[in-house]
Amino acid sequence: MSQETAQHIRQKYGLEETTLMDRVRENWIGYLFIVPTFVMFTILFYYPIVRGVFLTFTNTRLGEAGSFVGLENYSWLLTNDLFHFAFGWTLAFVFGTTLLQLVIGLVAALLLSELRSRWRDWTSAIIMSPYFSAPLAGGVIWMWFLNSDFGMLPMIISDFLGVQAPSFLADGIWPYVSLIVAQSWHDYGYAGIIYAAAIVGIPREQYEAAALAGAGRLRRFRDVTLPHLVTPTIIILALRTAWNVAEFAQPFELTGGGPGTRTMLMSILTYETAYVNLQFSRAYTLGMAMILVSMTAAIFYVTVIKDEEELYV
Amino acid sequence: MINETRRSRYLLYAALGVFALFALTPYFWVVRTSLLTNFAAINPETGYLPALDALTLTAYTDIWNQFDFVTFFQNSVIVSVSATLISLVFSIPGAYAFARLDFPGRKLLFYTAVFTIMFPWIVITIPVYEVFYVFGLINTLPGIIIALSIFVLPQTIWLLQGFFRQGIPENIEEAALIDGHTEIGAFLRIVLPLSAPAVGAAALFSFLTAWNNFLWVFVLTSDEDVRTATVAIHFILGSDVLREWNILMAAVVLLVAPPVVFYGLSQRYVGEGLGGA
Amino acid sequence: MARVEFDNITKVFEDTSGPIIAVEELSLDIPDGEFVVFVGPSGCGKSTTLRMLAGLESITDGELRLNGEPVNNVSPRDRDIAMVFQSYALYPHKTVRGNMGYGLSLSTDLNDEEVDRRVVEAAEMMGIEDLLDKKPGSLSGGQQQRVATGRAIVREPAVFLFDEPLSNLDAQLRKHMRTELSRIHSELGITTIYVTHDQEEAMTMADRIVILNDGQLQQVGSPKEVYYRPANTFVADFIGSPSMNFFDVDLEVASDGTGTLVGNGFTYSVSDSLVDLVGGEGEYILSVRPENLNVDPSAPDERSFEATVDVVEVIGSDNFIYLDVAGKECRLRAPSEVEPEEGDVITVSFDEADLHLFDRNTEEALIHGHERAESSPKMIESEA
Repeated sequence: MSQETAQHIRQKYGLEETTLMDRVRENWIGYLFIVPTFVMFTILFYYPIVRGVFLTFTNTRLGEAGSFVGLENYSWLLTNDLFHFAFGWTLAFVFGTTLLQLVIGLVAALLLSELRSRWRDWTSAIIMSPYFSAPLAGGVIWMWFLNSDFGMLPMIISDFLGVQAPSFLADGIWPYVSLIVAQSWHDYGYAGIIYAAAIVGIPREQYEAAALAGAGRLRRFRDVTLPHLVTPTIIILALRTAWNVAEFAQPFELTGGGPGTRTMLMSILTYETAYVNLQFSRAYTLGMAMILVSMTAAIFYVTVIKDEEELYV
Repeated sequence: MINETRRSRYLLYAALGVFALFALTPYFWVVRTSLLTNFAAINPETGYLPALDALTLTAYTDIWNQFDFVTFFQNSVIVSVSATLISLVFSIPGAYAFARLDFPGRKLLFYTAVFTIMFPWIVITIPVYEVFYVFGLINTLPGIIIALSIFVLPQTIWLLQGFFRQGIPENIEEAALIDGHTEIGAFLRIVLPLSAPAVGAAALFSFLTAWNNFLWVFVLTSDEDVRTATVAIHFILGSDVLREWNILMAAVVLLVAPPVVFYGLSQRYVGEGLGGA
Repeated sequence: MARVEFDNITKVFEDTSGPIIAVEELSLDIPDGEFVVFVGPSGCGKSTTLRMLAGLESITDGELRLNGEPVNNVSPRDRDIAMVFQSYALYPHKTVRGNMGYGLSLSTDLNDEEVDRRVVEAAEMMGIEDLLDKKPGSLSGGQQQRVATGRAIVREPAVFLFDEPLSNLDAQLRKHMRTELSRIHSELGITTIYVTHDQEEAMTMADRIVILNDGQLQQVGSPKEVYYRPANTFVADFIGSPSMNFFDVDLEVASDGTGTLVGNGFTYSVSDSLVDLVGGEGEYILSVRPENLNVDPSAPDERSFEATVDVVEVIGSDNFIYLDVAGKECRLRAPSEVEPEEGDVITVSFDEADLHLFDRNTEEALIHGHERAESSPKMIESEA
């Protein structure tokens, strides 16, 4: 509709005179219902974000109001070696965990879909169970499982392979592997559940039609199952990327960024800067890097899945 | 499915068995430790599957004498229940507005809700800490409750709006308006009773999310008497006192069991809730 | 009992892309007790109009009156209306009895026994007295439809509103419910406004049909009026099945005053009086209903044309013959014994009394053949 006709219509029916109050009056019930949530979000989400961005231009520490320092925090950030390392390692961690969670979840969902539904619920309850444990507990569980002195895995390795197991949380590449594997263990259930819901939703007739057309197992998977998994994959990729960036409790408990700072993730670094060193403004500046990654995932998600009814969490 | 054979069945069972092993083995070690005496737990002679007579529940009874686990679990319950109730009070009307009402600005708000779900919460804690500091909410249960209510809110809104969109018949509020209800009456008397199962599922979700939460409680508290079980376990693990692994692992079992069992029992809801479908 | 007046009613929706006019300056006066059907393609504004009347949609401009009282700002519950939705919108958690009685107990101060008496009465009227203690989820689509209608009847409202109530039923049930709803209307005599996209439903049930397109009123009239005297090509095309044939024609008037309609692939001589009525030479749209075309080998050349048979559809009572007239499709409804072969060239004629002429620019009707042909039996019928 052209601008002119729009103008004309509004003029004709007196629509351009509608004030904000008129709109509120007409939709009062919607606003009434949303206001409490909006207020909640404002106090603990919108305001803090804005306040946080403001903080990054000051040298505020906990308990003392700072002064304006311009871009100092950002230049500190960009020249900080630990940040460089943590940012790179966070990307690697996120990439590794997201990918593993996606693959393991998909395989689990596919296997479960082959089960008769009577058994499916229970089997999936067991297989998906790590996802529901407290992330902190996940850290404790793996710390104990991998413990060099009393852990199960080192014990198995020395008992059955006859070699001394490496220290999984300290030696060489092992802490990185351990963090990624433990995180994948905890969260593949999310991908599994989303995929399972998508697979259950595929109409059976499509498989039967494909089978009648002579498609074998693999071909049916490629031609029938896969197309239905595109949307769930986007959802899982976006959400898990954001959540793996934000993940704190489990890695914090498992290695706490150590030994030393060798496995320092952005989330742990942000925590330590804020609550150990009490440098709030620098911590939020670090956080901006995390926000950058998460929000890229969020924007990707919202633009790809335009129809809001398809949005999942 | 189609043209399956006995052999492919067995392959399937074997593959599922590997998955179950992967999922459960780390748990197994924790449970095993929690059922032993502290000495047996770290004694290499005990073996992978301890003998039956070595098993004991002393760790579980000792929990309550050592440390303040009564307080910690009590705090966990108080905090989770309160956060659940508060988030429901806010999210039910909010989710309903998102799903079934149309008003200018709805879409924008809806998308910001998506962003809240994906936001790195550790970053938000910093300015929130400031706010709480000003209002004297640090180290208080109300402070934790407020923070956790907000934390679970987006997820609860999500779950409920999906239900309101698909689980409530079309035009039902309009039929109620014509039958003689006001807008609010239609919501309270018709929509809400129909939503009972979804509200129940949302409540369960909120409770368990709050129960599992570590970050907020950890950041917002330092006093022992407002600690929840999650944070308490972290501190006990980090303390230098001689570790009683069996008691610690028993605490982990008590922490992990409720969510895992509840989610297991409500499998169907979990799929629907997380899957949106 | 109520008279419903739409006085210059307009509805504008504000969309992200700008304002959209859903209903434009609709004026209509519906006397008490009339059965009015709003019909039109989807998006024509018929449902919006109904929803404005129900109070579910605000009115942008104009005045809506019930029994002379303006009700623009009256809430749905105070309008004394009952509505049947396409989706039925039954309360899933209440029994049939609860569904039907709910409105009564909310909006009146009748005691429970009185409510129940009226529920049972309405249930008997709808033939669902056996279902009263069931929940809607366990009912078939047809039964749910009856419950929804019953729920409206119980209220004994001033106006009944139906929003495509039968579209979710299968064809046979739909026909059955049509007669049933007509019966209920004649028993209760309550003003009824019924929205449908199905012209057949409109024709069979309505006292008057309101045809809408693009938010604008096209024509209001009895079924016969809109059938025999469509106000424009839209109405002509929309009403009747198979739909009307249209040909672009030029009227040529010879020096002796005789008129001929010349189209692509045919010519047709018309009487002098028709030429007079139309007002001389010009560009028109000629249209004839499929049922008014005859296969007639003996027809005079100047009043017939040749056409090639494309497809013959046998429907039992009649045959639908799809013809090709110089590349344009033309539909003909013939008695079942007329069954040409595909590819046959046949001679088609029609009575001058059955033609309609429309202005080619405005697409408004200029003349309906029978208005001139006094002796036409159809004319008499249409006046009856």
